[in-house]
Amino acid sequence: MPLTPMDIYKLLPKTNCKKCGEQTCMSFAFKLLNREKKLEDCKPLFEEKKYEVQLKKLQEILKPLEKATETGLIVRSELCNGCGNCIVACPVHVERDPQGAGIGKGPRIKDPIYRIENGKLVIVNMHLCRRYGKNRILCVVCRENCPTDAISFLEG
Amino acid sequence: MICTGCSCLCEDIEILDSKVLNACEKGYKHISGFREPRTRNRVYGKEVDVDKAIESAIEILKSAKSAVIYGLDTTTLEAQRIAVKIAEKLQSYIDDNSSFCLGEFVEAILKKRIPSATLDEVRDYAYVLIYWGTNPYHSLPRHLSKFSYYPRGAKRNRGYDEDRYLVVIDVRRSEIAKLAKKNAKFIKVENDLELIESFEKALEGKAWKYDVAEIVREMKKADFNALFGGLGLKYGLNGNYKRFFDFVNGMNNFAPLYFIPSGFHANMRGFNETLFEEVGEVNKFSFRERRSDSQFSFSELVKNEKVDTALIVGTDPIASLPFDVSKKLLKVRKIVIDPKDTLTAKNAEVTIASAFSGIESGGEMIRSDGVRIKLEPIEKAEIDDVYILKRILEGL
Amino acid sequence: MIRISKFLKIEAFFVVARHSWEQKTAIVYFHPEFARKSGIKDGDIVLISRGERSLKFRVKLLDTAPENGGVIPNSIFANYLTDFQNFKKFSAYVEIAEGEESKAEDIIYTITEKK
Repeated sequence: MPLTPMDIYKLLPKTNCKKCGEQTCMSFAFKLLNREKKLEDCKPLFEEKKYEVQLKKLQEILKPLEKATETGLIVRSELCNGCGNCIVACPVHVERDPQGAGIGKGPRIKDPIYRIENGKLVIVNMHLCRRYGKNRILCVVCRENCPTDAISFLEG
Repeated sequence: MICTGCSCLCEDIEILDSKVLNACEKGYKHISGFREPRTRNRVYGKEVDVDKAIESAIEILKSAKSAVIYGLDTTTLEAQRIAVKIAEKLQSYIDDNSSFCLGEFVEAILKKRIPSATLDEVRDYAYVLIYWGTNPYHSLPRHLSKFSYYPRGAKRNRGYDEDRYLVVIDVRRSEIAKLAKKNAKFIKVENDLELIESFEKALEGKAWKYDVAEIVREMKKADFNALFGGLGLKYGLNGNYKRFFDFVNGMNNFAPLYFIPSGFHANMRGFNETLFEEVGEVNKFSFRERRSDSQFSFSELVKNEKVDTALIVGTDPIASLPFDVSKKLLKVRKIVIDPKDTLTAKNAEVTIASAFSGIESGGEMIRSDGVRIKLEPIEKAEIDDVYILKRILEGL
Repeated sequence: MIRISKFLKIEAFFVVARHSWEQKTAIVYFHPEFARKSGIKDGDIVLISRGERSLKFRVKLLDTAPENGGVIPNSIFANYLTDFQNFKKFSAYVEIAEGEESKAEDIIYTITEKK
């Protein structure tokens, strides 16, 4: 079950103190999920003893986020067999690597988004992914074409 | 380098900082695992040097009343040619795995009974892609991403959701069946012959047991469609190959449909073509009677106790053949040429340690679509299949 | 739900297919629905018998198996139970068993012992 902003909000101080730079705790919860803010930005959580239990719980449920890249992409290696569907279907690869990944070969550009190393999918340069950065879009092409659902995204 | 893990023969493999790039997991294990349990030269269980092993092999072959050469699907064309010469010298039988794999289909292609195409042409032109009785996810992992559904092609450059139509036919929802989502179809087949009939009736506008009207309509839209058939198709036909070939040819009157066999060892097609060049048949051949017959397949010969000696190259029949064949292998004197210490190698009378084709020894292989690929080994072993088979031929 | 046990066996449909790389141990992949209905769990040992031959397999679950049975990977274990008429699919009986999964050596033993 993917983590939602509500799951995070329930464990925050809910005082809307604005110390993190956001207007409300709910807004902070969203930014936390997007990796735009870190848990440490919520000073009261760390400085006030009454939030100790909540802090511990938050650190626990946020642990999967550490495994995800900044695009929210998680690869379960034990399900990956290096079939390469994701690499070839990726619209960014098609555009930037028309003589390599675009026609089914191994990536020819220097830093593709990902490639197969030792039989498994390995992320190389997630900056190129359309899900990354300020103008991100919710592209799901790689996940949709993985035969074993080895690729998943944080938002579900 | 070129991976020889399966009949895809992927040519874009790179080794960088001791990491294998671009090869799928199956290929990676093939390329990197080759230093593992290797067999040793043995004669009747005792370790010997390679010369003694080869001499013993020659002796056993000379004293054979009826011999068969088997395997050869994982070795190079050069080695296969020498094996055919040995079979001719011995007036023995020769057969490979294709007799229980897709031999009938390769034969139909080589004898021009059904139309075929190269995988590069499929990538550039094919619209409807039918995977029938094959699950490339496990047998040819990069097939869809390298050759068919996903890559952009010369005339198919708008991507898989606009320029490809995927059809998966299987008895269960396999891994590639899961990919048949939009602009695609999965058919859970119970009877392949009835499915063929459904296609033929659909051409006349009639409905039958399976709903294939949409597939037929899509095929009509294009001037290039491809059908990949695997073992599920072969065993589903239950011997009725002609029925299937008539069906493919019939479809071609309606829309171009090319057949490519799918799912086998790296150089199985290579053996079929090598033998075909020499004697006009693809497998199950007897040099004494100079003809091919289903009774001359390795499995039939062993089961009916028609051979007393077998030269087994790069295959493991004790593991890969049904028990009623493998249990009879005890009665056959076995000479195994293999780099791996397979179950058959462990139980053979003579074992000769060879090299991994494509990794430690070069040569040529033929991909599943008939394209010849020149291998690029990363090492050079002195004792490989060609060396061993040449010496055996000379010794005879 | 009838849980299969030592005293009760049920019939299942098996597909023999290439799976992963090489299969050195006896594993059968059951469809989760079939496993649930029969009370088989991941990690169980089952005895699969066809005619006079039977072998013990370790159970894993896989959703690409047929819904009324399982997938046995291409291996010496599949070949012990099958023949060329039923090379890619067959029906067999399944029952819960104890002990460990069968080993390749056990099958070789039956071959070499038939002297």
